[in-house]
Amino acid sequence: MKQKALILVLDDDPDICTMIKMVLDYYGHSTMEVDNEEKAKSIISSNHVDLIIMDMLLSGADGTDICRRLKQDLKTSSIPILMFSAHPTTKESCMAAGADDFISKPFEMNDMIGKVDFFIEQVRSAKSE
Amino acid sequence: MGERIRNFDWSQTSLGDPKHWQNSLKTCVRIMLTSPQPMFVWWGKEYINIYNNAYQFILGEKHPALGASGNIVWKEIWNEVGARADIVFNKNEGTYDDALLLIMNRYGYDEETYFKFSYNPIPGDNGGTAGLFCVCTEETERIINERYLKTLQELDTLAQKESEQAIYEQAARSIESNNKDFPFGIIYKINETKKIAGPVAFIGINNEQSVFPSHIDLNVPVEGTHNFYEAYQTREIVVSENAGRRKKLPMGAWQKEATQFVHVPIFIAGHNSPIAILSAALNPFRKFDNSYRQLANLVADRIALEISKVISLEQEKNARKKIEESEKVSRLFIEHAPAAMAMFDTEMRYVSVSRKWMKEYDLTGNVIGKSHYDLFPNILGRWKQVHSRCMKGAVEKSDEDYYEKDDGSPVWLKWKVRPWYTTTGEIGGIVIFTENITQRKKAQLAIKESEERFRTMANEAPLFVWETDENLQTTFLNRSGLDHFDLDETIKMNEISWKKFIHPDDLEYVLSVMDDAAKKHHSYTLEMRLKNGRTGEYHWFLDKGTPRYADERFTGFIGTSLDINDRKQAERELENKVIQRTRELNQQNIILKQQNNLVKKILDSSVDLIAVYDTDARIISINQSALSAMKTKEEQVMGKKLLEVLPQMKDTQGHKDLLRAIDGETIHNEIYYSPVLNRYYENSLVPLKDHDDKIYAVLVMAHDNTDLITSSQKLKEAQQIAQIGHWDWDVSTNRLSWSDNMYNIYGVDPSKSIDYDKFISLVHPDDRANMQANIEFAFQSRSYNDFFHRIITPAGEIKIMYARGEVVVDKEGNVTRMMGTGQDVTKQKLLEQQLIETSKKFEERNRFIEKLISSSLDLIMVVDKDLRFITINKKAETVLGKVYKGPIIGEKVTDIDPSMIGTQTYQDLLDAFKGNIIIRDKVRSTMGGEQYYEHNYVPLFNEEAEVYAVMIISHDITENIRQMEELRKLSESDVQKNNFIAMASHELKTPITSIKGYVQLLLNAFDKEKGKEKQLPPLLVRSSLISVDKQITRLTRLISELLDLTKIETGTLELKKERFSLNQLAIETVEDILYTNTRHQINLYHDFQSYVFADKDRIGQVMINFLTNAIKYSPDSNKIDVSIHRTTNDRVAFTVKDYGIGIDNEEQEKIFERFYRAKGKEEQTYPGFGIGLFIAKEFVEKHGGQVSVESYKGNGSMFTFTLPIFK
Repeated sequence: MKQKALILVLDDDPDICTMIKMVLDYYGHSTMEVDNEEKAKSIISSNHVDLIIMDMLLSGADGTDICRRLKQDLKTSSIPILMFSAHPTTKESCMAAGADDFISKPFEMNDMIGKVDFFIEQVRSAKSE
Repeated sequence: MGERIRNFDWSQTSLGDPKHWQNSLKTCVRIMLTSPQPMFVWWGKEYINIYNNAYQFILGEKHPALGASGNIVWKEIWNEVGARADIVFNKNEGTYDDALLLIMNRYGYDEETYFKFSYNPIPGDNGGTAGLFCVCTEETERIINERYLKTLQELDTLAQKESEQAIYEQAARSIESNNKDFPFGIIYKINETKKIAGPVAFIGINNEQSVFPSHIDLNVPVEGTHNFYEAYQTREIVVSENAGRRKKLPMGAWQKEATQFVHVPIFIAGHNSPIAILSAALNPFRKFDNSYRQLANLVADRIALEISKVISLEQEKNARKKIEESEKVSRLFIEHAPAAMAMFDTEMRYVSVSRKWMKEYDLTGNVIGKSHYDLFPNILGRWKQVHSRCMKGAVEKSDEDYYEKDDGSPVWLKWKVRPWYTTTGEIGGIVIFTENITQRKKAQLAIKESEERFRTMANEAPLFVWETDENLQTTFLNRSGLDHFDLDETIKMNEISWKKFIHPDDLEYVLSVMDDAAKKHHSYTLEMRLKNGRTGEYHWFLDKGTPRYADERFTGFIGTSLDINDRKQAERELENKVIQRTRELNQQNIILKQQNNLVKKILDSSVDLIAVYDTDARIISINQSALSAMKTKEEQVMGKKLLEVLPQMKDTQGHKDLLRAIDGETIHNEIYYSPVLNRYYENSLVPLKDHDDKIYAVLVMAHDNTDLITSSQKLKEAQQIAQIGHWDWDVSTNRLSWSDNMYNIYGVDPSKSIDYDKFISLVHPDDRANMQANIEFAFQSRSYNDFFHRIITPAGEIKIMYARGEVVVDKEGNVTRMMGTGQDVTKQKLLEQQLIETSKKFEERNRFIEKLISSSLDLIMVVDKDLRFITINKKAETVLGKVYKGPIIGEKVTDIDPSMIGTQTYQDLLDAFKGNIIIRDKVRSTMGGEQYYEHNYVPLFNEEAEVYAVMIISHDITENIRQMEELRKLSESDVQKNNFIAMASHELKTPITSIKGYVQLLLNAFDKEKGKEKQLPPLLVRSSLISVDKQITRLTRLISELLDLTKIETGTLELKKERFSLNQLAIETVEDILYTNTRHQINLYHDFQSYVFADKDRIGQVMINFLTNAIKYSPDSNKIDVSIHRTTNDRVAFTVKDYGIGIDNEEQEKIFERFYRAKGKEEQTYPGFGIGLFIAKEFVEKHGGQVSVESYKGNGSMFTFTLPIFK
């Protein structure tokens, strides 16, 4: 039984956000989209976010920097981060920045859903302990 | 009735027993009884009444009245009836009445009745009239109904009335016409808000009679008005009794006052209370029965109907009036507008028009409502298009629209068209403003023509004829003069101040000459400069004037002016040339002088003899050493020919050399003996060439070698006494024996024995190997090579030995003995060494000096303490000459280049004057142009060791810098390329990611196998597909940009050119853009219609690129202006202006470069490759056009491309 989760999508391209939101909604999750770090932080501070999905390449900002900062900040470090990027070769730098997982664009939907489920499951079971 | 008659006791009457009745009576009775019509008989003088059944009803309550006397029965109407009866009885005549009014009382009240009846005489048996027979019919109902009808018909007249008041009045008149039923009355109009009723019309009375109260307060019912009030409240007819008034009431048609009144409320739809009440007196002779009530209602209804019609009509009228008012206002405004303007509805019919428009377009009469196109059937098609576009909301204008009228005459029109909106916000039509600028344009063209004419005229010597008045104000100027000063014939002379045409420097002189001439009564001739009105240039004129007088009073001048500019010019030039030449010569002298000083300082330090001679063999520079050698002083030799100073040099080698050097030969003598000076020299004579490669001087440098030479000679001598030692080496016994000299040379004690090993140990370690080798060689070849080697004496002295030897062999050819000499040549060698060094130094010095003086690649300038240029070399002159016209020598550095104050250069210069040598690398030239220099500042010291000047040597390193730039750009380009690739793949993958996502979602939703129960709602499917479509569009655009870029890069871009209208393309493009971008209003201005020969798709792409950029980079604005106009160099320009974030200067240079994406707000970059503008630039340039941008950060941008016009 899938449990509903709140997923935060961080990408500056509105088309990608819309598409991800549609897919996640279809699978029964609820989604919020933001296009920069400030807004992301603000959402996190007032909502319980279960997972962050973010683009590695944002205009005006480096995704890996943002990921690093989120992982260093105690308020946000517990939220798993799934990063995506157009270059598969950047996986290492994403993981090095603290991302919990990586998926390359264009992504296989089932793949992404699988990863999302995994993280949601993880968070839920951690909570229930 | 028959029975009743039979049963009646007639004996009591005068008739007696019916048996005895007369026959006529019996007959009448018999007839009567069988007739359905009412009949009666009056018999005898008593008028005994006998009647039938039908008549019974007429009697009403009087029945039964059988046997009674008619005059008693009908006493109330006996006046009328009796009179008629008398006629019958007395004259034996019948009577007939058709609808006679009889007020009878048969039901207990006086009743208005109408009867149609006839009285007929009944003859008695005895002759004469015995009785009267009557047949009658009651007509009352008919009459009264007729009356009602008439009343209502009267009320029809209400329909014609147009105001409430008129209706009420007319109603009153109509009701008045029936003064029987309504003897009098008042119509009260009710004021709803104040709840007061006031009379509005009087029926049958006038105001003064005041029978009814004049105003009735409906808030409070008052005694006497409560019936009225009731009618108001209940909206029902209320009947009231006459409450006994003191005043006499009007009686209308009757002779009796009304006893009853009725209040009839009149109400219309939409009102809760009656709007009026008809209060009227009733017919005193009628009961207010249903039909009477109905009449009252009908009257009230009729009034109500008409009132409500009028009210709504009035409302409508008011509304219309208001619209008319405002329309009138705007029409007035337009009518009186100073411009030619007209307002049209959506069908292009005139709504209003200004007088000027009417006049402009020859319209007369009233055009309002007429169609513009009907009035102007030949209107230009493109204008119609403008109208239709503006009807849809566009705003268009043109500053200079050209067209030809039917008669071929040209018209230039400035126009603006925009839509106008009704109060509901819909477009009501368009407003057109026009301004005929033909005159202005014609004037412009005329001016151009006249310019041509002027030029033609000016080629023939123009002579002006002019006249002035006593105040020296020009009163006349001939055509030639007018043309020169570019004046129109229509210009009033006294409006021009001719003085302003005179060169300011000449003005005073001219005025004083003229003044003088006027006073002294003589003509004058002078030369002055006059300004050409058109070009503003001053030309020299020969002005001759003659004063005129009228009665001894000066009235003005008349004269001529002739353009002598060419002649003057030639004179000037000659003068200038002379001055120039003189200056040049002076300069050269100065330069030479300075060079002299310069050289002097450097050279004075030299030990060598250095002198510089000019081409006449005059000494122009000479250093101290040379002076000393000549045993003379500077002032005695400067400027003097060599032979003057040293006449002994005539025919010497030295003099000959000098002459050869003056001819251009460079001469070098290793040993030159000067008999005059009795010294040996090594000398060089170097001809010095200027920038034109002409020899201007000879540099003579001489190194005094005498000591060397003499010492070498001494050496030679010495060699004869040479310090030579002998050696003898017995190889077989390895016994070495030395002569005493040898021991001396080697510094070894002669008493000690010497052997080979000891010998070797004295050889310089570095030379031992060589020594060994040579000895080896001697053994091998059985011959001895002479060679040099160093030795170190036990005392540590290093000497150079020259070893000579011989080899002795035995019969077998084996070497048995070697012997030879060793010569100490140390001194000689040292001298040789010195010689070599000296000549090297000499060479260096030569080179340095040559370079110094004739180097032309560097700029060499010398400035004095006031920063004035003392001397500059040719290169410096050329470079400085580019930015400063005129002589440079003597000018201050800061005057020639004021911008240098405050720069590092300036600071360095000042530092150098403090005595420091400054070297400054990579200085960008402040005097325009992209030049980089290495500046060297060398302070020059005088005898007192003060800095009197600074020499600035500037080495042009622009090339180096440029190469470094190239390299940097290349590497930048590489970096950019890499960034581009990274960015391009990101941009391309983004839409693909979207598409894939949606497609997979749809696949999953429709995949039954995996058992997913959840269906995608159709709406979601649809929106997914729409998104996919959008992404594909985005992707397609990106790819085609990339393809374009590739084509450009590989040179395979093909253009499909065709002739098309740029304006049309612009219109289409703007429309397309507006479909998907609704935030911005895009205004298109057609100043100019133009065709081009180009690739339509690609140019369209450029337009789209400009427009999408404008939209992208102005998110907070909602307006974009596009215009097409002619440029100053006869091309067509397409410009897009946005009011967005703008672009700062730094970026403007780069945005057309490949891969460059401009920065947006808060340093965000916008999506896209950043190659749009680059491609746009390429496309335009391949058509022979140009792109440009004008922008200020924060203030919007204007992008323009130009193309050649194609006719």
